[in-house]
Amino acid sequence: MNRPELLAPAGDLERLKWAIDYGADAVYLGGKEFSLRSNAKNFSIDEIKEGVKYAHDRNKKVYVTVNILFHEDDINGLINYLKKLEDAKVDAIISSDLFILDLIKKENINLEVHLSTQKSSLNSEAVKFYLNSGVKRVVLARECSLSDMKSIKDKTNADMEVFIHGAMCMGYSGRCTLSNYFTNRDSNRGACAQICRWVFDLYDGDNKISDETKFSFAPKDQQLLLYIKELMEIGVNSFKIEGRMKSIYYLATILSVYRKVIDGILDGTYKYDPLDEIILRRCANRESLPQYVKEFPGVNEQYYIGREEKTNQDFLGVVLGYDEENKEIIFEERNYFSVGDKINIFGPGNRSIFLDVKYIKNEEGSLVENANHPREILRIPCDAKVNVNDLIRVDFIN
Amino acid sequence: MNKYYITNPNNIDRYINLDISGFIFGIKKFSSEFNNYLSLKDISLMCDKCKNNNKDIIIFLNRLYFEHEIDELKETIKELSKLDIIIGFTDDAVLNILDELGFKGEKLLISNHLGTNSYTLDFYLNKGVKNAYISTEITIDEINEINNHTGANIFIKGYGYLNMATSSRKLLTNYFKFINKNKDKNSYTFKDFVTSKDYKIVEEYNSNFYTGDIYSSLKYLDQLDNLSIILDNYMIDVEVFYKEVNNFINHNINSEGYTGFLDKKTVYKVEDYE
Repeated sequence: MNRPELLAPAGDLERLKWAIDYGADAVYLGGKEFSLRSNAKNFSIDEIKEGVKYAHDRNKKVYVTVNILFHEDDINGLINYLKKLEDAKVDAIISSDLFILDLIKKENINLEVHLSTQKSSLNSEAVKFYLNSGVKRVVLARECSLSDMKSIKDKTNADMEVFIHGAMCMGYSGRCTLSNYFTNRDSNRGACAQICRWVFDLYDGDNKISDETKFSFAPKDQQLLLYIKELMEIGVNSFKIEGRMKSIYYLATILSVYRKVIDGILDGTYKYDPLDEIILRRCANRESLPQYVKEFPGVNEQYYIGREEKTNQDFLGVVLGYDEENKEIIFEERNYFSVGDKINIFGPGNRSIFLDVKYIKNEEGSLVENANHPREILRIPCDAKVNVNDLIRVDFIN
Repeated sequence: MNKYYITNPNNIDRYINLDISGFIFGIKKFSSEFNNYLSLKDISLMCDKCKNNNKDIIIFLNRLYFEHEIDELKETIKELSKLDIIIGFTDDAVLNILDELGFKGEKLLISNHLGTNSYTLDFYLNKGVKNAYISTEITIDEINEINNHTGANIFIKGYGYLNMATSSRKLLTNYFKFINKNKDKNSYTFKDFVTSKDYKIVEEYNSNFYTGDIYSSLKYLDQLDNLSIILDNYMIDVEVFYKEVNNFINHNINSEGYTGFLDKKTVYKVEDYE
């Protein structure tokens, strides 16, 4: 069984580093131009260079999304930008507009092109067309089932990337312009207003169908934790996590779980742990399901009213250092907790420590009962050494 | 000079002597967004009729296809490729299959929302696709720029409801199941609370979302030249459609219909948001 790539989103340089440190084999990011997610911070060319260096120094890869659907005027500056990406030594670009294949060939730009999921590649014949056109990797549509993926792999031997976790579109990617019609914001140029999360009244002629339950078409998130082994057996090359706008806590948590599972399958030690599902579910605050991999999504795969988007305060802090002399963790607080609470400290490499908080010290060294000022630097006792950038969360396991 | 193409009229005899260039048909299983669908045999018969009257026939293979549909799709395309027709496609699988069959006829890229620049159309032109049906989410200026820059023949939508989105989910079926009511038809309207505007949702192979208003480019016909204009009767009253077809052909610019994005540019940079 080949080792698949675990591919993480990076909304900015900080998150790129966290993603790599927490087990990503590769990251994808957007530049300031030509990238969907126009509301994400995104990277300048200098930041891309720094990110590539950070990744390559650790034998990891960086892919840059150049995945807007170009309008005629948007082409200005594209060649120059692609040359800068080549100069930055990015490992590939992710695009949906096929003319880029011709453009890089004509301009002699040495960039590998991965075909974005925006192209909704669902079948082996389309994939063959893209490979013959020069695409090096195809990001399959999220609507593909496991049997579709297997057949596509068997017939094309394509380098295939598959989304395994995160939010998903209601429609075929690239085929939803509701945002354009409702808000004039162009969904295929990175300004999607997520109309699929709005609610509406449904009518049959003048007869109102919807009552207190409004009509909506918001999908729950995707989560393929239980199908990782099957995906690896099919030969999927890259497992992609959605969410360039997500937090470092989200990234670290999701990556830690999938890293553990993939590595466990590879070395034969993997055993299903229901806690992994709990961790994934709590992290996103949204329900996540396998969606299309076994059967078409039905009523249970969508939100109507009463969506379970409960926010939680699981994320308690970021470890800044460890005082070996006093055996204390120095950390920056993120959410409220108190003396006597149970906490869990986790870090890269599947390290995990469970503690009862015996005391909390503030920066002046005074004992306090509660950690209740986000970003405050605090100390708690811990006999085991922890590392910088380990994360502290509520112990919802014990 | 524009050319006009009419989608699958219920009575072709009524249209065949009009000054139009051809008809567009959907085929059972592999097309969507038509009032009715033809079988291979129907299409063959229609070919004879249209050719005798010097009209083109375009078959719209305007869906995305799942892997399990590919074998049957191949067989269908094999039969279609024997006919003197233009084959329109949304899924690039069709193009690959046609190439493998050595199809020599004309092909039409049905880009849906994705055909927004001339460079993409030229990519397909280099693959032998001479015709392209472009996005409805672009302005008149963008249409004309694309038309001026590409070597492909450009098709635009002239009339009909605009598709806003397509989902493979059974969105109506799922909703009715959730509210425990019977879904007795496939088409409903939904209302946006903010604008109070109506929109349509139709569930067939996919769930498709449409504008509530019928789009018409008639008002701007003087600014649209050298294009192939598709007049689409999907979900539209027979007589209303016939009248509009004649308005287009006769250049009877008296309509104040919904013009979509023809005169309204979409935004995507934060600083452009209102």
